[in-house]
Amino acid sequence: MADDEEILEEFVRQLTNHQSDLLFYIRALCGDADAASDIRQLVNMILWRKRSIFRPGSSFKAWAFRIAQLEVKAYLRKSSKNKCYSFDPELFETLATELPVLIDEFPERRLALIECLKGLTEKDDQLIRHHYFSNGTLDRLATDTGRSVGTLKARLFQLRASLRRCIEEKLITIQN
Amino acid sequence: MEAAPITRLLLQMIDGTIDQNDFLLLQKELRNNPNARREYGELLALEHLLAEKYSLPQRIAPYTAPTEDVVPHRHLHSIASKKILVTLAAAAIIVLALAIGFKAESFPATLRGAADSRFQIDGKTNASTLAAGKTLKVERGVVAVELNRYTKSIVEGPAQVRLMDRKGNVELKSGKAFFDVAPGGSGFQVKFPGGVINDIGTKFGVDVQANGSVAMRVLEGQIQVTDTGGSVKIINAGEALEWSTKGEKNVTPAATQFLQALPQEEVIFFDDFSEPEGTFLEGKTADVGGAWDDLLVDLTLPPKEDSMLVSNGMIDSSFGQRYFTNTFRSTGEGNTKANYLIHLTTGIPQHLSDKNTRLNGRETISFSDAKGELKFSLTALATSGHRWIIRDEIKGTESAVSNASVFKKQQLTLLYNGTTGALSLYPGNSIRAAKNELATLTTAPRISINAVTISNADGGDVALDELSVLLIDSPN
Repeated sequence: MADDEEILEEFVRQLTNHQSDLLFYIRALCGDADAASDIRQLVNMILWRKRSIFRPGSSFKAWAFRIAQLEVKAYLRKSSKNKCYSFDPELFETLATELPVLIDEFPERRLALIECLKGLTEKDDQLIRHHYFSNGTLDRLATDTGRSVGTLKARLFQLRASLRRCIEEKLITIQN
Repeated sequence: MEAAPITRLLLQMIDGTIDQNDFLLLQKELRNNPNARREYGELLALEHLLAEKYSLPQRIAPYTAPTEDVVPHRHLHSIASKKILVTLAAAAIIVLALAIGFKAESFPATLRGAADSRFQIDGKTNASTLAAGKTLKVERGVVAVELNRYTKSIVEGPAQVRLMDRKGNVELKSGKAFFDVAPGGSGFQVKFPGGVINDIGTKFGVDVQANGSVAMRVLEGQIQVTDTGGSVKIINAGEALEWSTKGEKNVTPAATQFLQALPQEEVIFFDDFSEPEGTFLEGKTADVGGAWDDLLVDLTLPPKEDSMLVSNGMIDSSFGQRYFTNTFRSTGEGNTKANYLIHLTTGIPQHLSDKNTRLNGRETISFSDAKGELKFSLTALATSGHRWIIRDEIKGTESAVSNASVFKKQQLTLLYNGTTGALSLYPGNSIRAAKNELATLTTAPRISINAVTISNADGGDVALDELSVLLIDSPN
């Protein structure tokens, strides 16, 4: 009985700890942030139903990602008439194989991001915070700062591209 | 395909704004180019981590969102009907997790400071996270700390807080901190000199004062206070208590005030003078704020050719005497103890040849209230080498002369503290990293500023590339 409880505890711990990775993986494969949240909930439900076959020490991530792949495919099949853009099967499989390597780097990427954000000017920092905290709309910030929404969008594009480069440079430094 | 267009298309795809032709083009590139696939993953990872960093409440949404709060996806009709089951399953997982005593930790604790704050961890400024065992030292301003998924804290500087463990329990060594513990975060502890507080699902503040006494106030729920002698006291919502080695006494809640959120920050003035070359400053509207008004100009006459113009993205008082003023965006009846963070970027004036010969030269950027009364200024005199000083326009006192020259391309930040009346001039456009002030002066507290005036006289000249005023307003 105690063993079952410990296994269940480990299952819940793994499930909770992998929520962020799972969401990223699903979003990268389906290309849609809103759909990714819904699909993750379905994957959670399936994992929960199959919890009896979970064994501590096995790769929870590989198991969860495999189920996620299948659920994304099912979603893309069902929504193919409505959805204009989804990756073709060949690209889907390639991404599904390659992405876990990148997900393994998330702890280092989080630290690198924190360092890179320190290099932003206050205006750029404000733009990033506003965009991600308020989930999108730039109208208010444009009004507040007297800049056009178009200018802010363009700046946001530049900032994300430069933050990506900064993170890659920091990771190379860490690896060396 | 070139690198930059790939990045643009990838970002459009991530944002959901890509059109079909571009998507097909991008898909072909992703299929054939491993570097493009890597960049897709990297950009999406950045998006994911930024959303994770700045949208913390959403991180727990999968476990807590009731069915009606889940935003239905426009393409997911087939899935929508299963939502109730999905949510029930997610809820079941969480209920189970709590039942077996598992707590998901948000570790390390994350930090977010107000724009005028300065804080450090082990001597390192600008830290974004606080690891277990480390002490957060808030020197100035207010810092929000997300201790774990359930517990948020607002720390008012000066204060020192040590994160005791990975669960988010803390030791408040000195200063004031407010704690908001959401349901699910019970068991949270705050250690203070002389005892420990056990939260029982609540909102409460603790103030470890310099004289050794500790004030506590409970806004919601209750807390249990255990001193080192083992005696226990319960404090309920609406009650406040002051504890010291001599004993404890009830105090009125009004005597112990705590900030419960980061101050609101609002740009009330901003002008980067980015208008087309030759735009007259007179009548030009600031990006945030009113129209510039030249108080030396006769408005019945057409603009003079020697009036101040926008040139090379800045304004320059060279070759004339100027007295321009502008008002800030109205903020209504604000807090009279608000702080102001004033950023200015100066350039090099065109006319420098007379600066060693005209010994009465002066440059001034002054700030006044809604009645037009001057309150404080940044000013520079030829006799002091045209270097900035802070001037209290109420008392007529001045700071020591800084080493920041008016005739240099540089960023400066002036902070006014509405609680203490302290004025501090820092180098750079952020005061978080600045170790030392260039100049300091104390004027009256509770000043509310409403306008800026830029002036020069007797051969003094100033070039200004950008000027902004940020209002940092904590609730009273």
